[in-house]
Amino acid sequence: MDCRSFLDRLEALLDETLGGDARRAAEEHLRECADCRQLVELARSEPDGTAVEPPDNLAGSILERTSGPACETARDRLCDYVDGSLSEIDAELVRLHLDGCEPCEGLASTLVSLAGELPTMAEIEPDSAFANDVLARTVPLRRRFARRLETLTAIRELWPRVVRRPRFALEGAYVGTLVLVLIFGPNLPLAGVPEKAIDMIRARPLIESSEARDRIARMENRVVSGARDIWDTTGGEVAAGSRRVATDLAQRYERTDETRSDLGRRAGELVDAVRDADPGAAATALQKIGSDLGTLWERLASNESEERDNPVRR
Amino acid sequence: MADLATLVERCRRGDDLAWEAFVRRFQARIYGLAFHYLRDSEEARDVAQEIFIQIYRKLDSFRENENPVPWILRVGRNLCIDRLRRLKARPPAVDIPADEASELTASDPSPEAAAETEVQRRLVYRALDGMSDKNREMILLKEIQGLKLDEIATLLKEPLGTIKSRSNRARIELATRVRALDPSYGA
Repeated sequence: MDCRSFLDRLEALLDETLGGDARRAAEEHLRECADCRQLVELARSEPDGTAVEPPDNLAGSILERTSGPACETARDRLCDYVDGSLSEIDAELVRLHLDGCEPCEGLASTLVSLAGELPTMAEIEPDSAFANDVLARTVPLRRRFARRLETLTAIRELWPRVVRRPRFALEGAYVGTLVLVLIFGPNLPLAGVPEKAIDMIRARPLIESSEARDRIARMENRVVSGARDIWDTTGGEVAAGSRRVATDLAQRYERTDETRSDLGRRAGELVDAVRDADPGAAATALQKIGSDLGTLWERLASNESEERDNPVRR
Repeated sequence: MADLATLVERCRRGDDLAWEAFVRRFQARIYGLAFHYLRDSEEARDVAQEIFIQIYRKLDSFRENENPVPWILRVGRNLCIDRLRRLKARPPAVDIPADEASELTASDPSPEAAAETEVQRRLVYRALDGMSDKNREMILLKEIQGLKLDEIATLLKEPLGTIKSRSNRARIELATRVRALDPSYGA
Protein backbone atom coordinates (compact mmCIF):
# COMPACT_ATOMS: atom_id res chain seq x y z
CA MET A 1 0.00 0.00 0.00
CA ASP A 2 1.38 3.41 -0.88
CA CYS A 3 0.96 6.60 1.12
CA ARG A 4 -1.90 7.93 -1.04
CA SER A 5 -3.93 4.73 -0.56
CA PHE A 6 -3.14 4.84 3.16
CA LEU A 7 -4.37 8.43 3.50
CA ASP A 8 -7.59 7.45 1.71
CA ARG A 9 -8.18 4.86 4.46
CA LEU A 10 -6.81 6.90 7.37
CA GLU A 11 -10.18 8.17 8.63
CA ALA A 12 -11.68 4.68 8.68
CA LEU A 13 -8.55 3.39 10.45
CA LEU A 14 -8.82 6.06 13.15
CA ASP A 15 -12.54 5.34 13.59
CA GLU A 16 -11.68 1.64 13.80
CA THR A 17 -14.13 0.84 11.05
CA LEU A 18 -11.50 -0.45 8.68
CA GLY A 19 -11.48 -4.21 8.64
CA GLY A 20 -10.10 -7.32 6.97
CA ASP A 21 -7.34 -7.14 4.40
CA ALA A 22 -7.46 -3.37 4.14
CA ARG A 23 -6.71 -2.99 7.84
CA ARG A 24 -3.82 -5.45 7.70
CA ALA A 25 -2.38 -3.66 4.64
CA ALA A 26 -2.69 -0.29 6.40
CA GLU A 27 -0.96 -1.55 9.55
CA GLU A 28 1.83 -3.02 7.45
CA HIS A 29 2.25 0.35 5.69
CA LEU A 30 2.42 2.09 9.07
CA ARG A 31 5.26 -0.13 10.19
CA GLU A 32 7.22 0.71 7.02
CA CYS A 33 6.40 4.49 6.64
CA ALA A 34 7.63 6.85 9.38
CA ASP A 35 5.77 9.88 7.96
CA CYS A 36 2.42 8.12 8.05
CA ARG A 37 3.18 6.74 11.51
CA GLN A 38 3.87 10.26 12.77
CA LEU A 39 0.64 11.50 11.19
CA VAL A 40 -1.42 8.81 12.90
CA GLU A 41 0.22 9.54 16.26
CA LEU A 42 -0.58 13.22 15.87
CA ALA A 43 -4.15 12.50 14.94
CA ARG A 44 -4.61 10.19 17.93
CA SER A 45 -3.06 12.57 20.46
CA GLU A 46 -5.45 14.53 22.85
CA PRO A 47 -5.45 18.33 22.63
CA ASP A 48 -3.18 19.56 25.41
CA GLY A 49 -4.46 23.17 25.65
CA THR A 50 -1.46 24.56 23.93
CA ALA A 51 -3.21 24.89 20.60
CA VAL A 52 -1.90 27.68 18.46
CA GLU A 53 -4.01 30.85 18.72
CA PRO A 54 -4.88 32.47 15.42
CA PRO A 55 -3.19 35.81 14.81
CA ASP A 56 -4.97 39.01 15.85
CA ASN A 57 -7.73 40.18 13.54
CA LEU A 58 -7.44 37.11 11.36
CA ALA A 59 -11.21 37.10 10.90
CA GLY A 60 -11.14 40.79 10.02
CA SER A 61 -8.43 40.25 7.42
CA ILE A 62 -10.35 37.36 5.89
CA LEU A 63 -13.55 39.42 5.76
CA GLU A 64 -11.73 42.34 4.16
CA ARG A 65 -10.53 40.01 1.42
CA THR A 66 -13.97 38.41 0.96
CA SER A 67 -17.34 39.96 1.83
CA GLY A 68 -16.08 43.05 3.65
CA PRO A 69 -16.99 43.99 7.24
CA ALA A 70 -20.52 43.04 8.30
CA CYS A 71 -21.00 46.07 10.57
CA GLU A 72 -23.57 47.74 8.31
CA THR A 73 -25.72 44.62 8.14
CA ALA A 74 -25.38 44.13 11.89
CA ARG A 75 -26.44 47.75 12.55
CA ASP A 76 -29.49 47.29 10.36
CA ARG A 77 -30.56 44.55 12.76
CA LEU A 78 -29.20 46.05 15.95
CA CYS A 79 -32.42 47.78 17.07
CA ASP A 80 -34.44 44.62 16.59
CA TYR A 81 -31.69 42.68 18.40
CA VAL A 82 -31.89 45.06 21.37
CA ASP A 83 -35.71 44.90 21.31
CA GLY A 84 -35.56 41.08 21.21
CA SER A 85 -37.63 40.93 18.03
CA LEU A 86 -35.09 39.11 15.83
CA SER A 87 -35.44 35.46 14.92
CA GLU A 88 -33.25 33.05 16.89
CA ILE A 89 -30.76 32.52 14.09
CA ASP A 90 -30.48 36.25 13.27
CA ALA A 91 -30.03 37.08 16.95
CA GLU A 92 -27.25 34.47 17.18
CA LEU A 93 -25.50 35.92 14.11
CA VAL A 94 -25.68 39.46 15.49
CA ARG A 95 -24.40 38.27 18.88
CA LEU A 96 -21.43 36.57 17.21
CA HIS A 97 -20.69 39.80 15.34
CA LEU A 98 -20.90 41.84 18.53
CA ASP A 99 -18.48 39.42 20.25
CA GLY A 100 -15.87 40.30 17.67
CA CYS A 101 -16.68 43.96 16.93
CA GLU A 102 -16.06 46.45 19.71
CA PRO A 103 -17.70 49.51 18.05
CA CYS A 104 -20.90 47.63 17.31
CA GLU A 105 -20.90 46.11 20.79
CA GLY A 106 -20.57 49.60 22.28
CA LEU A 107 -23.40 50.85 20.08
CA ALA A 108 -25.61 47.99 21.25
CA SER A 109 -24.85 48.83 24.90
CA THR A 110 -25.75 52.48 24.24
CA LEU A 111 -29.01 51.45 22.59
CA VAL A 112 -29.91 49.36 25.63
CA SER A 113 -29.16 52.26 27.98
CA LEU A 114 -31.13 54.70 25.83
CA ALA A 115 -34.10 52.34 25.74
CA GLY A 116 -34.23 52.65 29.51
CA GLU A 117 -33.46 56.37 29.65
CA LEU A 118 -35.66 57.87 26.92
CA PRO A 119 -39.12 56.83 28.24
CA THR A 120 -38.35 58.57 31.54
CA MET A 121 -38.04 61.84 29.62
CA ALA A 122 -41.69 61.80 28.49
CA GLU A 123 -42.95 63.71 31.48
CA ILE A 124 -41.62 67.07 32.59
CA GLU A 125 -43.40 68.65 35.51
CA PRO A 126 -44.52 72.19 34.77
CA ASP A 127 -44.74 74.77 37.54
CA SER A 128 -47.34 74.28 40.24
CA ALA A 129 -49.69 76.95 38.85
CA PHE A 130 -49.96 75.29 35.44
CA ALA A 131 -53.00 73.06 36.08
CA ASN A 132 -54.92 75.91 37.73
CA ASP A 133 -54.13 78.18 34.78
CA VAL A 134 -55.46 75.57 32.34
CA LEU A 135 -58.61 75.08 34.41
CA ALA A 136 -59.15 78.85 34.60
CA ARG A 137 -58.77 79.19 30.83
CA THR A 138 -61.29 76.41 30.19
CA VAL A 139 -63.99 77.89 32.48
CA PRO A 140 -65.79 79.79 29.67
CA LEU A 141 -65.59 76.71 27.47
CA ARG A 142 -67.03 74.58 30.24
CA ARG A 143 -69.94 77.01 30.70
CA ARG A 144 -70.72 76.93 26.99
CA PHE A 145 -70.36 73.16 27.02
CA ALA A 146 -72.80 72.92 29.93
CA ARG A 147 -75.33 75.17 28.12
CA ARG A 148 -75.05 73.04 25.02
CA LEU A 149 -75.60 69.88 27.05
CA GLU A 150 -78.68 71.46 28.63
CA THR A 151 -80.06 72.41 25.20
CA LEU A 152 -79.48 68.91 23.84
CA THR A 153 -81.11 67.37 26.90
CA ALA A 154 -84.10 69.70 26.54
CA ILE A 155 -84.50 68.74 22.87
CA ARG A 156 -84.27 65.04 23.76
CA GLU A 157 -86.98 65.48 26.39
CA LEU A 158 -89.20 67.66 24.20
CA TRP A 159 -89.21 65.44 21.12
CA PRO A 160 -91.21 62.50 22.55
CA ARG A 161 -93.82 64.94 23.89
CA VAL A 162 -94.14 66.55 20.44
CA VAL A 163 -94.50 63.17 18.76
CA ARG A 164 -97.05 61.84 21.25
CA ARG A 165 -99.46 64.80 21.33
CA PRO A 166 -102.81 64.00 19.58
CA ARG A 167 -102.57 66.86 17.12
CA PHE A 168 -99.37 65.40 15.68
CA ALA A 169 -101.34 62.39 14.33
CA LEU A 170 -103.89 64.69 12.68
CA GLU A 171 -101.13 66.76 11.16
CA GLY A 172 -99.48 63.60 9.86
CA ALA A 173 -102.73 62.38 8.32
CA TYR A 174 -103.29 65.79 6.69
CA VAL A 175 -99.83 65.80 5.12
CA GLY A 176 -100.16 62.15 3.99
CA THR A 177 -103.49 62.85 2.25
CA LEU A 178 -102.03 65.86 0.51
CA VAL A 179 -99.11 63.81 -0.75
CA LEU A 180 -101.45 61.11 -2.16
CA VAL A 181 -103.62 63.70 -3.90
CA LEU A 182 -100.59 65.46 -5.33
CA ILE A 183 -99.16 62.20 -6.69
CA PHE A 184 -102.28 60.44 -8.05
CA GLY A 185 -104.66 63.40 -8.50
CA PRO A 186 -106.28 64.23 -11.89
CA ASN A 187 -104.32 66.12 -14.54
CA LEU A 188 -101.05 65.04 -12.92
CA PRO A 189 -98.34 62.87 -14.55
CA LEU A 190 -99.07 59.83 -12.34
CA ALA A 191 -102.87 60.03 -12.63
CA GLY A 192 -103.19 57.08 -15.04
CA VAL A 193 -100.68 54.82 -13.36
CA PRO A 194 -103.18 52.21 -11.99
CA GLU A 195 -104.83 51.71 -15.41
CA LYS A 196 -101.45 51.56 -17.13
CA ALA A 197 -100.35 48.91 -14.69
CA ILE A 198 -103.39 46.79 -15.52
CA ASP A 199 -102.68 47.21 -19.27
CA MET A 200 -99.12 46.04 -18.76
CA ILE A 201 -100.25 42.98 -16.87
CA ARG A 202 -102.75 42.23 -19.63
CA ALA A 203 -100.07 42.54 -22.30
CA ARG A 204 -98.02 39.85 -20.51
CA PRO A 205 -100.35 36.95 -19.68
CA LEU A 206 -98.76 34.91 -16.95
CA ILE A 207 -101.35 32.15 -16.85
CA GLU A 208 -101.71 29.89 -19.88
CA SER A 209 -105.16 28.53 -18.98
CA SER A 210 -107.69 30.35 -21.17
CA GLU A 211 -110.45 29.88 -18.60
CA ALA A 212 -108.43 31.49 -15.82
CA ARG A 213 -107.25 34.21 -18.20
CA ASP A 214 -110.86 34.99 -19.22
CA ARG A 215 -111.94 35.08 -15.60
CA ILE A 216 -109.12 37.50 -14.73
CA ALA A 217 -109.98 39.64 -17.77
CA ARG A 218 -113.62 39.81 -16.65
CA MET A 219 -112.50 40.79 -13.14
CA GLU A 220 -110.24 43.49 -14.55
CA ASN A 221 -113.07 44.88 -16.67
CA ARG A 222 -115.37 44.97 -13.65
CA VAL A 223 -112.71 46.73 -11.55
CA VAL A 224 -111.94 49.28 -14.28
CA SER A 225 -115.60 50.00 -15.09
CA GLY A 226 -116.42 50.24 -11.36
CA ALA A 227 -113.54 52.64 -10.81
CA ARG A 228 -114.68 54.72 -13.81
CA ASP A 229 -118.25 54.89 -12.45
CA ILE A 230 -116.94 56.06 -9.08
CA TRP A 231 -114.68 58.61 -10.71
CA ASP A 232 -117.51 59.91 -12.94
CA THR A 233 -119.71 60.57 -9.93
CA THR A 234 -117.10 61.89 -7.47
CA GLY A 235 -114.05 62.75 -9.60
CA GLY A 236 -115.19 66.27 -10.37
CA GLU A 237 -115.57 67.06 -6.69
CA VAL A 238 -112.21 65.49 -5.81
CA ALA A 239 -110.47 67.41 -8.59
CA ALA A 240 -112.05 70.67 -7.50
CA GLY A 241 -111.18 69.92 -3.89
CA SER A 242 -107.57 69.10 -4.69
CA ARG A 243 -107.26 72.27 -6.76
CA ARG A 244 -108.57 74.25 -3.78
CA VAL A 245 -106.07 72.48 -1.51
CA ALA A 246 -103.22 73.13 -3.92
CA THR A 247 -104.13 76.83 -4.16
CA ASP A 248 -104.38 77.06 -0.39
CA LEU A 249 -101.00 75.36 0.01
CA ALA A 250 -99.38 77.72 -2.50
CA GLN A 251 -100.76 80.73 -0.61
CA ARG A 252 -99.53 79.38 2.73
CA TYR A 253 -96.12 78.63 1.22
CA GLU A 254 -95.86 82.22 -0.02
CA ARG A 255 -96.62 83.49 3.46
CA THR A 256 -93.55 81.66 4.79
CA ASP A 257 -91.08 83.38 2.43
CA GLU A 258 -89.61 85.58 5.13
CA THR A 259 -89.38 82.79 7.72
CA ARG A 260 -87.73 80.44 5.23
CA SER A 261 -85.13 83.05 4.48
CA ASP A 262 -84.54 83.45 8.25
CA LEU A 263 -84.18 79.68 8.56
CA GLY A 264 -81.57 79.62 5.80
CA ARG A 265 -79.58 82.30 7.60
CA ARG A 266 -79.81 80.42 10.92
CA ALA A 267 -78.61 77.22 9.25
CA GLY A 268 -75.58 79.15 7.96
CA GLU A 269 -74.90 80.41 11.49
CA LEU A 270 -75.16 76.85 12.82
CA VAL A 271 -72.73 75.53 10.20
CA ASP A 272 -70.28 78.35 11.05
CA ALA A 273 -70.57 77.58 14.77
CA VAL A 274 -69.94 73.86 14.19
CA ARG A 275 -66.99 74.64 11.94
CA ASP A 276 -65.53 76.98 14.58
CA ALA A 277 -66.23 74.36 17.29
CA ASP A 278 -68.17 77.01 19.23
CA PRO A 279 -70.83 75.14 21.22
CA GLY A 280 -72.36 78.34 22.63
CA ALA A 281 -72.99 79.87 19.21
CA ALA A 282 -74.27 76.50 17.95
CA ALA A 283 -76.75 76.27 20.83
CA THR A 284 -77.96 79.83 20.16
CA ALA A 285 -78.39 79.07 16.45
CA LEU A 286 -80.31 75.89 17.32
CA GLN A 287 -82.63 77.84 19.62
CA LYS A 288 -83.29 80.40 16.88
CA ILE A 289 -83.92 77.61 14.38
CA GLY A 290 -86.42 76.07 16.80
CA SER A 291 -88.17 79.43 17.19
CA ASP A 292 -88.23 80.00 13.39
CA LEU A 293 -89.59 76.50 12.81
CA GLY A 294 -92.41 77.33 15.23
CA THR A 295 -93.18 80.53 13.31
CA LEU A 296 -93.01 78.65 10.01
CA TRP A 297 -95.45 76.04 11.25
CA GLU A 298 -97.83 78.69 12.61
CA ARG A 299 -97.85 80.43 9.24
CA LEU A 300 -98.36 77.17 7.37
CA ALA A 301 -101.13 75.98 9.72
CA SER A 302 -102.99 79.29 10.21
CA ASN A 303 -105.86 80.28 7.94
CA GLU A 304 -105.55 83.98 7.11
CA SER A 305 -109.08 84.32 5.80
CA GLU A 306 -110.36 82.89 9.13
CA GLU A 307 -108.10 85.28 11.01
CA ARG A 308 -109.39 88.19 8.97
CA ASP A 309 -112.97 87.14 9.66
CA ASN A 310 -112.37 86.54 13.35
CA PRO A 311 -109.34 88.52 14.61
CA VAL A 312 -110.32 88.03 18.27
CA ARG A 313 -109.54 84.30 18.00
CA ARG A 314 -105.97 85.06 17.19
CA MET B 1 -57.24 55.99 39.68
CA ALA B 2 -59.94 55.89 37.01
CA ASP B 3 -58.87 54.36 33.72
CA LEU B 4 -58.19 56.84 30.97
CA ALA B 5 -61.11 55.92 28.71
CA THR B 6 -63.57 56.41 31.60
CA LEU B 7 -61.95 59.72 32.48
CA VAL B 8 -62.26 61.00 28.92
CA GLU B 9 -65.86 59.79 28.72
CA ARG B 10 -66.68 61.66 31.94
CA CYS B 11 -65.03 64.78 30.49
CA ARG B 12 -67.24 64.45 27.42
CA ARG B 13 -70.29 64.41 29.65
CA GLY B 14 -69.24 67.72 31.18
CA ASP B 15 -67.92 66.42 34.52
CA ASP B 16 -65.70 69.24 35.86
CA LEU B 17 -63.92 66.99 38.33
CA ALA B 18 -63.01 64.52 35.60
CA TRP B 19 -61.59 67.35 33.52
CA GLU B 20 -59.50 68.58 36.44
CA ALA B 21 -58.22 65.04 37.03
CA PHE B 22 -57.40 64.76 33.33
CA VAL B 23 -55.44 68.02 33.36
CA ARG B 24 -53.48 67.07 36.47
CA ARG B 25 -52.78 63.59 35.11
CA PHE B 26 -51.54 64.74 31.72
CA GLN B 27 -49.94 68.09 32.48
CA ALA B 28 -46.41 66.67 32.79
CA ARG B 29 -46.74 64.62 29.63
CA ILE B 30 -48.24 67.40 27.53
CA TYR B 31 -45.74 69.92 28.86
CA GLY B 32 -42.95 67.41 28.16
CA LEU B 33 -44.17 66.95 24.59
CA ALA B 34 -44.34 70.71 24.01
CA PHE B 35 -40.93 71.21 25.61
CA HIS B 36 -39.32 68.56 23.42
CA TYR B 37 -40.71 70.19 20.30
CA LEU B 38 -40.13 73.83 21.22
CA ARG B 39 -37.12 73.65 23.60
CA ASP B 40 -38.26 76.78 25.37
CA SER B 41 -39.98 76.57 28.73
CA GLU B 42 -42.17 79.67 28.25
CA GLU B 43 -43.28 78.68 24.75
CA ALA B 44 -43.84 75.12 25.95
CA ARG B 45 -46.00 76.31 28.85
CA ASP B 46 -48.10 78.47 26.57
CA VAL B 47 -48.54 75.78 23.91
CA ALA B 48 -49.28 73.14 26.56
CA GLN B 49 -52.20 75.28 27.76
CA GLU B 50 -53.40 75.66 24.16
CA ILE B 51 -53.19 71.89 23.74
CA PHE B 52 -55.46 71.32 26.74
CA ILE B 53 -57.95 73.92 25.48
CA GLN B 54 -57.96 72.29 22.05
CA ILE B 55 -58.42 68.85 23.62
CA TYR B 56 -61.40 70.20 25.57
CA ARG B 57 -62.92 71.64 22.39
CA LYS B 58 -62.39 68.40 20.50
CA LEU B 59 -63.69 66.02 23.16
CA ASP B 60 -66.74 65.37 20.98
CA SER B 61 -64.58 64.19 18.09
CA PHE B 62 -62.91 61.54 20.25
CA ARG B 63 -64.16 58.07 19.33
CA GLU B 64 -65.03 55.87 22.30
CA ASN B 65 -63.05 52.80 21.21
CA GLU B 66 -59.96 54.81 20.35
CA ASN B 67 -56.84 54.82 22.54
CA PRO B 68 -56.80 58.35 24.03
CA VAL B 69 -53.00 58.73 24.21
CA PRO B 70 -52.28 58.80 20.44
CA TRP B 71 -55.28 61.11 20.01
CA ILE B 72 -53.96 63.47 22.71
CA LEU B 73 -50.45 63.40 21.25
CA ARG B 74 -51.83 64.03 17.75
CA VAL B 75 -53.61 67.16 18.93
CA GLY B 76 -50.48 68.21 20.83
CA ARG B 77 -48.12 67.59 17.94
CA ASN B 78 -50.24 69.60 15.50
CA LEU B 79 -50.26 72.61 17.81
CA CYS B 80 -46.51 72.36 18.45
CA ILE B 81 -45.84 72.19 14.70
CA ASP B 82 -48.11 75.20 14.15
CA ARG B 83 -46.25 77.16 16.82
CA LEU B 84 -42.89 76.15 15.38
CA ARG B 85 -43.99 77.32 11.95
CA ARG B 86 -45.15 80.58 13.46
CA LEU B 87 -41.83 81.04 15.17
CA LYS B 88 -40.25 80.22 11.81
CA ALA B 89 -37.40 78.43 13.46
CA ARG B 90 -36.50 74.90 14.27
CA PRO B 91 -35.78 74.01 17.89
CA PRO B 92 -32.54 75.78 18.85
CA ALA B 93 -29.59 73.45 18.76
CA VAL B 94 -28.18 74.64 22.04
CA ASP B 95 -27.47 73.03 25.33
CA ILE B 96 -30.35 72.89 27.79
CA PRO B 97 -29.95 75.84 30.18
CA ALA B 98 -29.10 74.83 33.71
CA ASP B 99 -32.35 76.10 35.20
CA GLU B 100 -34.39 74.17 32.64
CA ALA B 101 -32.27 71.07 32.93
CA SER B 102 -33.05 71.02 36.64
CA GLU B 103 -36.71 70.58 35.71
CA LEU B 104 -35.88 67.39 33.90
CA THR B 105 -34.54 65.47 36.81
CA ALA B 106 -36.58 62.61 38.13
CA SER B 107 -37.15 61.92 41.81
CA ASP B 108 -33.94 59.99 42.35
CA PRO B 109 -33.10 58.55 45.72
CA SER B 110 -29.85 60.40 46.22
CA PRO B 111 -28.26 63.70 45.11
CA GLU B 112 -25.45 61.78 43.42
CA ALA B 113 -27.88 59.69 41.40
CA ALA B 114 -29.91 62.80 40.56
CA ALA B 115 -26.78 64.57 39.39
CA GLU B 116 -25.79 61.60 37.26
CA THR B 117 -29.27 61.41 35.73
CA GLU B 118 -29.10 65.11 34.94
CA VAL B 119 -25.74 64.72 33.26
CA GLN B 120 -27.01 61.80 31.19
CA ARG B 121 -30.12 63.67 30.13
CA ARG B 122 -28.16 66.73 29.10
CA LEU B 123 -25.98 64.45 27.06
CA VAL B 124 -29.02 62.93 25.35
CA TYR B 125 -30.47 66.39 24.70
CA ARG B 126 -27.22 67.51 23.11
CA ALA B 127 -27.22 64.41 20.92
CA LEU B 128 -30.87 65.02 19.96
CA ASP B 129 -30.08 68.63 19.04
CA GLY B 130 -27.67 67.49 16.35
CA MET B 131 -30.20 65.24 14.65
CA SER B 132 -32.46 66.03 11.72
CA ASP B 133 -36.02 67.16 12.53
CA LYS B 134 -37.53 63.94 11.18
CA ASN B 135 -35.24 61.63 13.12
CA ARG B 136 -35.59 63.68 16.30
CA GLU B 137 -39.38 63.51 15.98
CA MET B 138 -39.18 59.74 15.56
CA ILE B 139 -37.22 59.48 18.80
CA LEU B 140 -39.68 61.81 20.52
CA LEU B 141 -42.80 59.96 19.39
CA LYS B 142 -41.59 56.37 19.63
CA GLU B 143 -38.88 56.19 22.25
CA ILE B 144 -39.88 59.06 24.54
CA GLN B 145 -43.68 59.19 24.20
CA GLY B 146 -44.02 55.45 23.59
CA LEU B 147 -46.28 55.48 20.53
CA LYS B 148 -46.41 52.29 18.47
CA LEU B 149 -45.09 52.26 14.92
CA ASP B 150 -48.55 51.94 13.37
CA GLU B 151 -49.81 54.84 15.47
CA ILE B 152 -46.89 56.98 14.29
CA ALA B 153 -47.54 55.91 10.69
CA THR B 154 -51.16 57.08 11.05
CA LEU B 155 -50.11 60.31 12.75
CA LEU B 156 -47.47 61.20 10.17
CA LYS B 157 -49.46 59.75 7.24
CA GLU B 158 -46.48 57.65 6.13
CA PRO B 159 -46.29 53.92 5.23
CA LEU B 160 -45.51 51.63 8.16
CA GLY B 161 -42.33 50.30 6.49
CA THR B 162 -40.97 53.83 6.06
CA ILE B 163 -41.67 54.63 9.70
CA LYS B 164 -40.02 51.43 10.90
CA SER B 165 -36.81 51.98 8.93
CA ARG B 166 -36.74 55.67 9.91
CA SER B 167 -37.16 54.71 13.55
CA ASN B 168 -34.22 52.30 13.37
CA ARG B 169 -32.06 54.86 11.61
CA ALA B 170 -32.95 57.49 14.20
CA ARG B 171 -32.07 55.19 17.10
CA ILE B 172 -28.73 54.24 15.57
CA GLU B 173 -27.98 57.90 14.84
CA LEU B 174 -28.82 58.93 18.40
CA ALA B 175 -26.71 56.12 19.88
CA THR B 176 -23.81 57.04 17.61
CA ARG B 177 -24.04 60.72 18.61
CA VAL B 178 -24.29 59.88 22.30
CA ARG B 179 -21.19 57.66 22.06
CA ALA B 180 -19.36 60.39 20.20
CA LEU B 181 -20.10 62.77 23.08
CA ASP B 182 -19.33 60.20 25.79
CA PRO B 183 -17.79 56.87 24.73
CA SER B 184 -18.39 55.47 28.20
CA TYR B 185 -22.17 55.99 28.01
CA GLY B 186 -23.97 52.71 28.58
CA ALA B 187 -20.76 50.83 29.35
